Amino acid sequence: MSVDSRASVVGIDAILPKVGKPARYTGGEWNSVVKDWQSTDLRVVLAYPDIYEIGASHLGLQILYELLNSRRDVLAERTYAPWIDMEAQMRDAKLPLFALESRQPVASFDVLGFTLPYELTYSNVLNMLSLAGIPLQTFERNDGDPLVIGGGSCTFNPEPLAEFFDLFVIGDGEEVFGELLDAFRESGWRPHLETGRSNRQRSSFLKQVANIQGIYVPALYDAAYSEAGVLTRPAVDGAPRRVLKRFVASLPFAPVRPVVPYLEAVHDRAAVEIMRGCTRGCRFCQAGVIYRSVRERPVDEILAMVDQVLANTGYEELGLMSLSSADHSEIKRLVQEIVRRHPNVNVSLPSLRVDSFSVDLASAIRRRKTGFTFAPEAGSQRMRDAINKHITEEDILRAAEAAFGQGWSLIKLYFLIGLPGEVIDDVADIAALVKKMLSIGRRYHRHRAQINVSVNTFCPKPQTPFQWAGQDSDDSLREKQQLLQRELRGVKLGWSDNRVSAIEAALARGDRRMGGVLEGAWRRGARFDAWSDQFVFERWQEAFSAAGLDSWQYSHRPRSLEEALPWDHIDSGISKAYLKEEYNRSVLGQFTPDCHVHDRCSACGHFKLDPNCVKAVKRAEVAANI
Amino acid sequence: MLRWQLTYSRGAALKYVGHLDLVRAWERVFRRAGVRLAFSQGFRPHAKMVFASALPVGVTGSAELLDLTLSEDTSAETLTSTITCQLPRGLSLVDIAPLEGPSLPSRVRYAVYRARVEQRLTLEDTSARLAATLAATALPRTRLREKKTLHYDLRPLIDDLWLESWDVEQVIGMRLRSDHAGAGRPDEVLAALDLLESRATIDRVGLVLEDSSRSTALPEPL
Repeated sequence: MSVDSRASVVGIDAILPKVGKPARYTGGEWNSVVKDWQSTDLRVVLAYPDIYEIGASHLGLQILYELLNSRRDVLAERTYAPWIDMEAQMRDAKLPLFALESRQPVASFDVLGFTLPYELTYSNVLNMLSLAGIPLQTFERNDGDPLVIGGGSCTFNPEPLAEFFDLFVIGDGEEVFGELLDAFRESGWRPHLETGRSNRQRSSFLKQVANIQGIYVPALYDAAYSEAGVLTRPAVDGAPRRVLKRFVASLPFAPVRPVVPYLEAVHDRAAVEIMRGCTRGCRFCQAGVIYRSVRERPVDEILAMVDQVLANTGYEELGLMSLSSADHSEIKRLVQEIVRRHPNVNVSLPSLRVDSFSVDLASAIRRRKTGFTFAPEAGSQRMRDAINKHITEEDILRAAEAAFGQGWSLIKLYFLIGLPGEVIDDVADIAALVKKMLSIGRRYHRHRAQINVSVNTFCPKPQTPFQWAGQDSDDSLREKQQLLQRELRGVKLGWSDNRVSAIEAALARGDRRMGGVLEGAWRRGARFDAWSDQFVFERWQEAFSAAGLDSWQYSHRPRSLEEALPWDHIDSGISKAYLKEEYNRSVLGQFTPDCHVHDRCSACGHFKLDPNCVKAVKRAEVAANI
Repeated sequence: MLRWQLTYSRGAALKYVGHLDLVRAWERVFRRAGVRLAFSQGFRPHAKMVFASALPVGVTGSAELLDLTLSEDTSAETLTSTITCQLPRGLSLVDIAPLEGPSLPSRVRYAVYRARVEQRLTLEDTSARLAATLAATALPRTRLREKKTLHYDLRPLIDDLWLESWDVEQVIGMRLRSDHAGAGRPDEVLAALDLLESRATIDRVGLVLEDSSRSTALPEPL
């Protein structure tokens, strides 16, 4: 292969007229950055393993795109999973996966970086590697293939993807991505200039960066399977025993120049991250663990970002992003000031708490009262205590009263079913709660009052207090879903497909052996598994049996607290002892307060990463007094 | 002046952007440029911005028309300079002129297209196809639209067809009806001529308004 044979513009013009929504593939959006292909030293392509309209709204990629492109020695481009029709046309015309900006093949970049937002995108990752013409397995790649890296929430158990990725970036990516690229530059290895069949530079580079905090090189580890569980440990000298996540103590100033898609993206708005992390401690929630601790952005900085991002994009809607926006200590002043400065902009506050303070907040900014979203998560007090969702029925009804009373006629509710310890009566309480809320709505809006209920099946996620719990059985889930359908006639009710949830749960807590299942399912045609019209359960069933593995063992089997877990070597900063304690407190229905709000340390262990957390501050004070 | 007519072009970089998406893109151009559009009254106010005619997906446009009503007085020079630096790749401004009279959509009568095809046909063959199409009394066609099949007659939507060049490039000119009663699609005409191919490029050269002195670029037949 000659040096430039890989790099040449991929000619998609002839196939574009034959596919739906061709603007998914044409790029050229406002604020997209097209740098000189030949003269830029390091070429990075950021990949989202689902369609353009979903990926374009991903805040993490927006941050990295702007950050990487601010470096003169780097060009960062984008690629998304082509939809089924486009894939067929590309395979038919033998066209490889390409990047939107330069239309150069993905294989001609130096780094291919996937974000891994949810497990059901894994088959798309394999499909995109295959479309790019990059060998699927890390050991098959040579120096001329791009470095394939992954980041995002799924990297907190990366084991099912271990054989497909050269490395994972665990935790906040802003600093470590730069360090990785610096190491790349210094190493002199440029995949796009390599032609030989050696993999010497790749493997020496991987060994070298394995010691950067937050970088996990799976090929340097192996897994031992026994009655005691799955033990993942270093296979070579020099690889750290545990990989500690990266943590940025304060949020970087970005993005203020996000790409503005022509197609309507799922979140068609400017997004400004006002806070990262949440310490409320809901026991099912993975985000609450992996994005710990809480880092607020100062109001003045948020306002400056808002001014810039609106001027740079022309967006008419602004999302103030965080895991729990009402928890920002100056949220009230912030929204008042934004509304004063930008009276014509629609401000949205996703992820609001279930309380009347949140309603008042939203009421101050919402011009169009389309629908108010609450996530009570559980219907009975017993279950809300078990999951550490610290709200009472009174709180919920008061919030509903406030929302209906302040002009909203539609409330959207999110619940989980199949939570550990849940019985059918707890689910009956969901129906009862919804009915009570609806009767409040009727008082204000008569028959116009509407409640949409979304009931998701609980999937135990790694690194959470519920990581040991089994997923609820199909029979039990079906009984619960039927009860809700019976009780909530006339309410718009959405629920998950339990077979999809079972695959999600299996992938979430999978070990390295799951890689074979994943590849088998993909070879049987699996892709876009998060799309109900594309998911085919039988592909996964066959893949499990071909690999000689039992999917139930992964999705439904409760783990013992003593068992070694496949992701134990990935250190989220939260101690396993704390997770165990939380699991036990869940069984007892005991409340664990939010350390950020109550200034009381719950001993999660994260102080070793965050110098601003309560415990770290107190320790420093004690040390100063000695 | 508060009312303006913009003539703009949509190039190949934007030809796959649908009409509604293009409307949104223009709204964002104006917002970035700080151009204040007037808003309609009512329950759901919308910016007073009227497009003469939606451009089909896959087709470029050399002289598209857009009427604006602003909420504050400005000059053509200011408007031009503020808008120009906010235009994305694929959009460019051809002209800005004060607008008088009724708004655009009610005045569009025809759209003129230029289609370049790569098929190698003889001049005689192509001329014969054009003549036969024009001579036909009906051209029944079916179109798949959102999973529904639409049966219609293309012939009354064709006003004229001509051969524009045949030496270096093979270009066919079309003047198609475009009014409240219906609009002819250029790709449908190519299909009726049996000349539709994925490499064909189609440009809308201009729109012919009711008062023909206000028509945009109108090419002369060969």
